[in-house]
Amino acid sequence: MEHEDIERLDKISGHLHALLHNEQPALLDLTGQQEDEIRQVGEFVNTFTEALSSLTKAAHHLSIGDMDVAIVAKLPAGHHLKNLQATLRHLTWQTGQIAKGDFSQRVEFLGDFSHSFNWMVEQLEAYRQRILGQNRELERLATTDPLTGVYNRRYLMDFATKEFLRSQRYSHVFSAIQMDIDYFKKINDAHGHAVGDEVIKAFTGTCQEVLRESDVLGRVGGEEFSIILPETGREGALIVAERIRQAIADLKVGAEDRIIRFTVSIGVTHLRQEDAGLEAVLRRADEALYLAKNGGRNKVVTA
Amino acid sequence: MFKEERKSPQFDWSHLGDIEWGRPNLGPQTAVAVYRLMQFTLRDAIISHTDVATANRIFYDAGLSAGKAIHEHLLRNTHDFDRFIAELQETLRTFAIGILRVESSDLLKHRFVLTVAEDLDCSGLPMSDELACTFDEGFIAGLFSAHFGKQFTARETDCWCTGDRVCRFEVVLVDA
Repeated sequence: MEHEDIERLDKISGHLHALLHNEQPALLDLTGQQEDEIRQVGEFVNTFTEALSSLTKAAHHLSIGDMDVAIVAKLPAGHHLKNLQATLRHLTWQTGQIAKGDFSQRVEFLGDFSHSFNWMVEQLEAYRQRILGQNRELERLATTDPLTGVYNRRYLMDFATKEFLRSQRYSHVFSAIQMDIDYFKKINDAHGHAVGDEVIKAFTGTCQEVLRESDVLGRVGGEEFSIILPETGREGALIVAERIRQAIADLKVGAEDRIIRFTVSIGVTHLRQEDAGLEAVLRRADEALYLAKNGGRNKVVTA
Repeated sequence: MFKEERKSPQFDWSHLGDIEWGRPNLGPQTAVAVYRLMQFTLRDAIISHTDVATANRIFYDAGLSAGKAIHEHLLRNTHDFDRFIAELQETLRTFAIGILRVESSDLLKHRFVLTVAEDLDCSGLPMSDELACTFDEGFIAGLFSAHFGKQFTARETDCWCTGDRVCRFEVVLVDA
């Protein structure tokens, strides 16, 4: 081998050594060299050096989360980096989807990461479902009466306010019913509070059997109840009230070894054009209830 | 039905026939190689008789019809984009067409970037520095056009044949 060839091979060898030791050598200067096998090796080394430099740069960009780096896939490592780039882009999109509430996203083909990521999404969805369930339960507790399960005063007043505004805006009608169980205190005193509770539960259960789904029954006091009947005028409300009165009069509540019977007094009214606010409607229903009580009880009075 | 002259596409899902009835023993599956044999011999013949641009146009338009037909017959035609993508991913997986993934989606500008891995058309083909998935371009454009009820176009930007391991498509609304 000529001395000059040995020098050229030395340069190539030094270049490769530098590459293997994380240095960035300049490309081999092949100008003026004769066309032979050693020059061809030098060209290969330069091509490899450029590809390696490009891949190193791309790997660095990906490692710091720059997913837009251009990757020249001249070596198999480039193919894998491009695959990784596509995976990271898709993962980024999937993360955005999960943030939007799409918990159907799953990661595949990434080994342990897929397992952990998918488990995380499943857990997030489980937490979300649990919180939704708790919210529903809190909503239920905040809006219902614990003894009977019917709505409480707060919910009923909210609903009545909305119904009043809606009916006024669209010139619709609604009716309000006020009810009071007759001599409830006597039932409590004679049979105890447990029996009183059974009477109240039987009362609301019977009312619900008479009412439509759109009607809203609420417990507004100890033995006082209100009903809002959307899209219902005076005649319709009277029919409902009378059905309730009759059903309660026929009701027999079994308590221990006794049968309890009781009645209800009912006041009925409907929205009138001159009503300035919901208070006017409810006041009228209260007045009707008062008349029913004073008129002998177990009655329906309209106002 | 198949050999009538026509100036516009007349493909109908019924042209696929009753495969279950017609292939009681062999069933509905075939090899990927057979699909590619059909695709590349057909491309070869079309280029021989016409030119590359014509072949590309034919493959794109055929893909467009196929995408619309798949949308009409195999997807539930939901208006929700996320559900559309989820159904599409499942359908492409079920029929071993490819593994679809979304890299970006802009529903306001109607611009999307998708990738398809293990693509039926090209994964494993020899390197050629050519974007090979013209049928897929039309196919994706057809799916998006059918979903949004507007005309979309899809362009392949990376392909197995150009050294990538996934095919990447940019999908945009025509005249957006």
